[in-house]
Amino acid sequence: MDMSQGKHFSITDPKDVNTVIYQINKTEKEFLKDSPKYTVERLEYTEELRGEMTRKTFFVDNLQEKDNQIVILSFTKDRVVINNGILDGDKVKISKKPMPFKFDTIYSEKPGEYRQVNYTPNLKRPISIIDPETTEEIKPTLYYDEETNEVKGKCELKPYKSYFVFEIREEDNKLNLLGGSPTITD
Amino acid sequence: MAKLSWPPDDKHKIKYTFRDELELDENGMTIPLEDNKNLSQSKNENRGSDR
Repeated sequence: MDMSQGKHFSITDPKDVNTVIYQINKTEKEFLKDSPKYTVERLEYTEELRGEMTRKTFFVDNLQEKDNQIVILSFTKDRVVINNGILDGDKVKISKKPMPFKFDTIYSEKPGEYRQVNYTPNLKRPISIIDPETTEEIKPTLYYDEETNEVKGKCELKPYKSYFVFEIREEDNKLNLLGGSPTITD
Repeated sequence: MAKLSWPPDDKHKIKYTFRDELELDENGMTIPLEDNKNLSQSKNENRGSDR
């Protein structure tokens, strides 16, 4: 792909803040039968240290004709601040009303070990699991369960850690992010 | 194996409603969205999506 196409914008993270940005893509009607209505795509970025702050440049490779929504997640030690914006022509419009969410920590009696958790992705309802310390996504591994003849998923979550999970939903013609700390049940 | 339950209960979740274009026009801030043609080649090639 010719990387000189596409666009970019920059933000500055203060010390101890780590921002990731997702673009919201609306699935075209002809593909809706087997796909969710909205999918999220994490934007690639470069970063440059400026003293104690970090200048981040985010790249947008695919701009739709209209309604190019982005969700901005700024992670700090114990919370994430959620905000949204719209990519419009030669500017990014960003809301001045972000919303913070404080994490819960997952408890486990086995400190230091990863805990395998059942999570079979729902293709019609994708959710994203993020490690707030690294901002990396936890992707499930698919496997075939021979006993039940099903494809299932599993992922590894570390005890005494916080995770942030979110999905995009449409309600009453409005886009919503439903997010939170995952619950693990035995 | 443990199971990941989603969505969580009300105590552990948040619902953020996206601000629409009208609200962003009236009460948002704006930053430039620039063409990549103006960017240095090294910056374009070194991008990633994870640390």
